[in-house]
Amino acid sequence: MEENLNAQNAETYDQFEIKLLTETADQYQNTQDFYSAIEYYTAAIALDSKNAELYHKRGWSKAHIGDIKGELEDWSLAIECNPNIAQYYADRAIAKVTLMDYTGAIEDAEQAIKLDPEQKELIEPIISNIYKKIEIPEMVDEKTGNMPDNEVQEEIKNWGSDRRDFLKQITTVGMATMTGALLTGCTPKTLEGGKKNVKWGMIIDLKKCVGCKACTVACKVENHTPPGVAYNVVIEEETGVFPHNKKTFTPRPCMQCEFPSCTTVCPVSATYQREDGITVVDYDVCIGCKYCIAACPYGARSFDFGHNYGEEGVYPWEGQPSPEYGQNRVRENHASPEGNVRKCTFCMHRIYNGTGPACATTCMGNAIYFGNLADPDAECMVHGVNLQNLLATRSYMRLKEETGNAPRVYYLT
Amino acid sequence: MYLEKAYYSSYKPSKIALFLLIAMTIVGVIATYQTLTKGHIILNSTQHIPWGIWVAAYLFAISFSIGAYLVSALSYVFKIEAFKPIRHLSLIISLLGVVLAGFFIILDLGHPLRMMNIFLSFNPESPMAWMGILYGLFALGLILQMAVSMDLPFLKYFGKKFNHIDRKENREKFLKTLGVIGIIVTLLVLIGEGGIFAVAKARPGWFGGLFPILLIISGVASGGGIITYFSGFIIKLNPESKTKLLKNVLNVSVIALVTTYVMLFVEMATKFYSGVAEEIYPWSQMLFGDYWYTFWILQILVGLIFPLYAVLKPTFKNPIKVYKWAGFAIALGLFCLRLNIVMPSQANETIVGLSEANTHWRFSLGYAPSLMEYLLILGGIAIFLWLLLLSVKFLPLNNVAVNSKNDSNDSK
Repeated sequence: MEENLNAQNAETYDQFEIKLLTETADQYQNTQDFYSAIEYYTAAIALDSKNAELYHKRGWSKAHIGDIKGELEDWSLAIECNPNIAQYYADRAIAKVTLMDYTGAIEDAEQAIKLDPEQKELIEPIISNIYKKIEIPEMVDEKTGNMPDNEVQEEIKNWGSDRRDFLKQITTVGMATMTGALLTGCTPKTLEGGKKNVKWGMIIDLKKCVGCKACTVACKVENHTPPGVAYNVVIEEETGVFPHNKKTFTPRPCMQCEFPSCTTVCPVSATYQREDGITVVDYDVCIGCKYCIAACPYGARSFDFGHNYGEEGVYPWEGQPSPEYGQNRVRENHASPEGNVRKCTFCMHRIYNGTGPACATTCMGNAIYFGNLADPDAECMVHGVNLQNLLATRSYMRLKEETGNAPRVYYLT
Repeated sequence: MYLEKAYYSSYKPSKIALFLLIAMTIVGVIATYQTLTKGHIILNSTQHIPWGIWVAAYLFAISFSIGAYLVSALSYVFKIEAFKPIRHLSLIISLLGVVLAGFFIILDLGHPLRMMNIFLSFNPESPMAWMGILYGLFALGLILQMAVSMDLPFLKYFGKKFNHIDRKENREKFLKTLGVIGIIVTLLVLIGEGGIFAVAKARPGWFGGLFPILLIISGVASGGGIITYFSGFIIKLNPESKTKLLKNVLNVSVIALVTTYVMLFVEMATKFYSGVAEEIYPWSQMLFGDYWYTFWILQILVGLIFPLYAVLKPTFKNPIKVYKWAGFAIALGLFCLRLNIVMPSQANETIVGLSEANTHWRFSLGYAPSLMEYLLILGGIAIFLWLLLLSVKFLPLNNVAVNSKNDSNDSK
């Protein structure tokens, strides 16, 4: 009798503690302190490892700190504990989309609809977005930037009679789209980048640049660059003597030169210029000799030495896949891009989704214009201004013209 | 058998030397392991100075390798009898130089396991890609020349092809042909190697036609210096012949050394006279920068004045020792020259203000090699010395034609 009472008390005490831990974790989650929330949910899970809701909540916290793998694991555990909740499948479907597991995402989304038909309206847009996205921009050839001709496009569309086969094949050949666009449902404004006569270029208005360095930060966030690697920096220069002095700020992305020095010296052809003018690096071929860094007159290339922002290991968001080149690589275990030379690609993965490079879209002074410099009628992808008109009506310069590299980044002075 | 005068070195390192060699091997293994497991995070090179001390060591190794080969050609191609006793040792040092250069440059790659991409994904526009091909050719040619010259048994596996070179005159003719081809390949290697730097228009200190020529001339100087140094330990001759031999090699080395510095002086003088800031910068860093002592003390005092003194002064109490260490001094001075050519040109900002645009230390302009970088250099030297000891123990060192009566006298 006494033993039973003790057991009951212990159970009640555990339940009380779980409740307390969960409430505390919920509070942390509400106040956006997701690291603490995860800590408390983990403590609660240690006492009740069969509680699906705890895994689900911890998964949400992990999602907020960008730990997508952790989030996926937790939602899988939640489903294991209780396979009858539609929400768990729906959440896992979104995580799988982020990790480019489209087949898995479709399976989970369909399971969610099966369990709760009322959620159909919410979930179906996710599925249709997956189809919509993979059918449009990824048809652009990664190396040349060209669109395949109509027959090939038709072949790709008809590839595999079953929707899942089609998805599997698309994923296998690496023709995937950017995660953000998938989730937001953003459709590309233009596909002209796929044509041969496209030459992407940038015009930076130095009179508008206030030196806030938001472009540097946006670039870091977008491309997940580690410490010691920077694609876009702002060079400051002070001229004159106080009080008659001023500062000039010069954002310096890759110049995407017409005649690049870096591509010719690369011993393994890992870095090359696409037909749309963007110079890229094939991380799987690059041997990391750093010759291109030595050859670049603009210091626009960085070697990935393997640093992380976390003092011990990596922060969860550092383990998030980077959308660079549309490859969604996760930087781990000393694999590429660590040990490679890295560079700005004008956010190629964004421009073929019609969103413009991260630096241009984030610039609060609207100082960065971007678009197709080969088209006299082309407008800035971000601000809608005619690019050639800008160059015709304003005085401009290019950095280090004497090198003969012919940069495609112009500075309005 | 043609090699009737062949002998194997009986040199045995002292206990202290052996202890140091083992210690260098151990630290070298540690540094290699660290590099392979942790990657380049252990290096102190930066985004502005991507090529550090390993590249300087590589450059030094490849140029002394080729210099040693050219010294051997004095015997094989130009038939100068005075250099015959060191022709096998020259080939050995040359081959080991290629091995050493490969060791440094492979570990300097971010992805060393992908080095075969140089052949698999060859870029004909890149001087570095051509270097991969030329090194391969050079190493193969060297092995063949060694095999024929030393009458190594493995040639027999190639069947009748090499039967005709059994006779002495045929063999010498064949070696001469190989030597001529070798000289062409080595010149191409050094022009290409220098070309890697010479075409880098982003680095004014490298950009220009001087670099390849400088590399060839200074390569002969360093190769000659290293041959002189090791001949002092390894070559068996009576003291008089040995003194003469070392002096001859040292003379060649010093002539090349003086030519190197004359060229450097002309280059510096024109740059300073022109007053173009970015072109002056690397040279002023070499002369008056943080590492001024490597130029004034190690390059000039130790690496130039001491060897000059050694060859100009007619007599010494122990000339073999003096010549030996003069050879070493030339090699040391030219290693510092490699450092001073590779580093300061990179420490020049490609765009003013770039090094301050990012606060991470990898964007700074300063560079001092990390402990692991130094340890790997020691490890590389240890590999070179072990292989040299093994080579001279198992490969014949021919000393025909020089005082054959006194061959058995081993001088110290």
